[in-house]
Amino acid sequence: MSTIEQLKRSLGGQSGHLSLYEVLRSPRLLLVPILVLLAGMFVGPMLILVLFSLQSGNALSLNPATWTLASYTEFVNGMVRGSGVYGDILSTTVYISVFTVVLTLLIGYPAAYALSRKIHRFKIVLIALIILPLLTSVTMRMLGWVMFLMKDGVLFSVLGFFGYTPPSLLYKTSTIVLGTTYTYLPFMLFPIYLSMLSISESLYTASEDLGASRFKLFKDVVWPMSKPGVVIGSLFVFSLSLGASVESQLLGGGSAYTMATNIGYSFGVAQNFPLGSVQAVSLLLIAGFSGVYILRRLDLEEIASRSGGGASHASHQSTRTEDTVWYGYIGLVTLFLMLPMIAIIVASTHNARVFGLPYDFTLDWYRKAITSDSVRNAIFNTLKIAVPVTILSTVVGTSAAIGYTRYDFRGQELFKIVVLLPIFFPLLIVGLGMSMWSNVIGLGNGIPQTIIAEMVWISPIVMFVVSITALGIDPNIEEAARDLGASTPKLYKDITLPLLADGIVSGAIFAFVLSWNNYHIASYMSGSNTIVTTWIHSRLTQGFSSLVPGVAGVLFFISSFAIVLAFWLEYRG
Amino acid sequence: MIQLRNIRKEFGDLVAVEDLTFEIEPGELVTLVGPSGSGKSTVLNMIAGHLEPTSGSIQLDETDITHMRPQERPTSMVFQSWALFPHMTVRENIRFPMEAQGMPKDGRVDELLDQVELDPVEYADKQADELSGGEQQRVALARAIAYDPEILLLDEPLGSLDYVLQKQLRRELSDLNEELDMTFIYVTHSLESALLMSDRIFVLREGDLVQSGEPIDIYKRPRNRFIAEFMGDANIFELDSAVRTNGTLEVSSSAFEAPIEFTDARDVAPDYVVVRYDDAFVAPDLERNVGVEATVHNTLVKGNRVLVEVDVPNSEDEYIADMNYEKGATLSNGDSVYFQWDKEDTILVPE
Repeated sequence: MSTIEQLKRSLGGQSGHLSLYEVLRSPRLLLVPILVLLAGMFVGPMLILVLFSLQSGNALSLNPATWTLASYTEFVNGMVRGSGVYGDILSTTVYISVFTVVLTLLIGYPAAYALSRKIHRFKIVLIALIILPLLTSVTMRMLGWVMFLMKDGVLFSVLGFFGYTPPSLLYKTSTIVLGTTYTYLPFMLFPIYLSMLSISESLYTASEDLGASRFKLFKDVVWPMSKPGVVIGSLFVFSLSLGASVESQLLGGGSAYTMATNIGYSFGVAQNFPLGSVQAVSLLLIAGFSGVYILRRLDLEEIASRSGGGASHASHQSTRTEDTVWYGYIGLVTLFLMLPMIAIIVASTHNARVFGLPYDFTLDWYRKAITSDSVRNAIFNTLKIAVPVTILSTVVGTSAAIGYTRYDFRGQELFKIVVLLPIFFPLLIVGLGMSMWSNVIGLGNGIPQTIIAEMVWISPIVMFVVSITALGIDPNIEEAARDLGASTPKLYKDITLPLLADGIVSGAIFAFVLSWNNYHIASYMSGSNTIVTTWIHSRLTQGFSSLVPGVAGVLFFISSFAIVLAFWLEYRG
Repeated sequence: MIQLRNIRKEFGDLVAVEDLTFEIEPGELVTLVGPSGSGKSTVLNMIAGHLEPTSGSIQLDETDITHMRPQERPTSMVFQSWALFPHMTVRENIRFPMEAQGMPKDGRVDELLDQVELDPVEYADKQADELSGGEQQRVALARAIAYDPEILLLDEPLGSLDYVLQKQLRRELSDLNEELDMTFIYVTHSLESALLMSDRIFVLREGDLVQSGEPIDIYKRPRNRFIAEFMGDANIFELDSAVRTNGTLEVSSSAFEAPIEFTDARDVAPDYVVVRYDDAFVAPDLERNVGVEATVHNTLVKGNRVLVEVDVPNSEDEYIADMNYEKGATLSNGDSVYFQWDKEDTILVPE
């Protein structure tokens, strides 16, 4: 790195990847779209929840004289002290979150170690399989677990085939923990994986040369260096599982009441907006604090340099047995993550209303699903949302990414934190806040409203993906183009955009997949328009339809196709 | 001619360039040298227009270019990372500046590739990211000169190449400078490059130009101790006194047995006597006109040269002579010798 870059780095605080020329010029125009979007559809919804938490009834008053802390008192007395109708909601919620952190850590830590050091062949495929569930709808994944675990489900049928009938597995608190552990495992695994990639192979070799035992190597080298990943992963998982609602609804049945389900209940059946808002605000605070903590430590440039393929360490002295153990372990973790998908594929291609052995292949359910008017309508509605969201989020996110990575400006670090923060908030609450906000400002709900709302959550993700690509490109290349006389349009047309093309395409695919699978925001914002995920959810909660597995299968296969495409683009060549 | 007048550059609280004034004639090859943080890259980037000076002005043939954008300046930069456009072929890379400037480009690509000694038939249609380091360097050079800039700025372009390739490209760069009659401003860490290639060397330190001149001038007549040591291996004798009487300068040091007299010394008040390793000589007898009694401490063979390290009474420092093998190899540790040199090779510098 040249002295200048060092100087600029010490000045800008974080990013050494800036066009020198632009140091004094403002990137305002590129940052405006995402900031307007967030100000209009994220800050507002969060504020409205805070405002509602201070009301005495369901009507919104802007007069501070009428504000009251009564709901906060009720929340503290009822939930925190565990008395009255709320019973042990808070303790159940915390119990679930803590257990989820412990379990994801126990499963994820060795998996992260194996991926960073022991796994070489099929590594990209394995990483893709671990990411895949994150990109599919939470409703679909939980449906997969239901079909795997339910009576007459995949597990029961297989065990029953061998003459064993297990006790009921669904609708217990521990089933919720299974669901949250499943959902949030990648959020533990990847931060640890990234921090382990920073341990260079020579460090292992040196420790071994110096005679360190395996235990000492772990205690003094691997653990301290991977600890930042563990902290980030734990915070991530803890705050996300506090807001887990679909898991507790679908897997917990009515057995355990968590804060997230209670928030939905307060706004729905109980019609107590202030109390619901108090709970939402408390979850928002936790999510906000952990989000800021994580984002402050998130160095996009470092991620860019590590995801560039240089990460493939040559492990020099693993024995065959050791290799087998590590591959076996990663195989099991991947299998765990794929189980609900497998259950859906199996159930949706089995020729019977309920699952049972012997397996009898059919594509009837798919045919029925696609020919059903209500399903076709739902798919059509989903596309009416997903296609515009993809295009608009890609434009907004890419422009923000170029502004962020190619310019130096005051408050750059703050910009990163503010823009990426929505990713950390529980979607249930984001969706709730958005629907209240759009009612208050008279925006109402419907398909255009859903598009704007989803963009708030998806544009930052596109920005993240494109930024990683942008940061991996030598900034001198664009300076050279300027130097050789390129005007700004020529610079963008011939250099910047072609170089970012892969990142932009991946970002667009992510945008499509996330919108296609989105449940929470769409369920609050789409009004009377049924989309695929809300269709599945309503069939699960209000009367099962045998079309469900087929519809989930359609949802899954379209997502997988897009994800495979994204990975192929990312890693070809 | 390019002129920098009272250029100052601040990064926040940090002053990278203090107050810089110099001019460079057309066709000159000037190297900017200095330790890390001396401001040499900052200067280069201000000339290119990638950075704006905090104050001061840059003039190119009577035109003020201080605040002109890089794409409007007739300057072209070769980066240390070469910065080829990886998604384009060699030909597309070289055509890029010509297109941007709206110049006719037919035939020029081949001519330019010839100029940087790459076979057009073999290279023109290769993808830029398939080239080796040396090849990328040549293409970057061809691309930079493609639109006939008046000034070529080179930011350590040889820094990441191996030694043999560096030597070869260095020579080619010098040839190109003469052939094109283009001003080259070259930033480098490599003293050898600076001494071999430059018409003039500018030595920078903490954002100040401390000395400029022809390579031999700076090597033989450094203005102070810092430059003397920066420009080459130096033995330093600290002086106790330097007395000037009628044009004769008499310097004495506790390391010398008797004061040394200079009749043609520059008009400075020296604090040190500096003797370059390769000007120094060690032998049992006094064979040169200045000498100090010494004891051989160690000999290091370096190919056909020998580095002889000696201890000198009354000095803590180590003194080294870089001698040819035949003379040096006869010495052994503990020998009583003279550390000696020719008086005209003595360098007298202030702190």
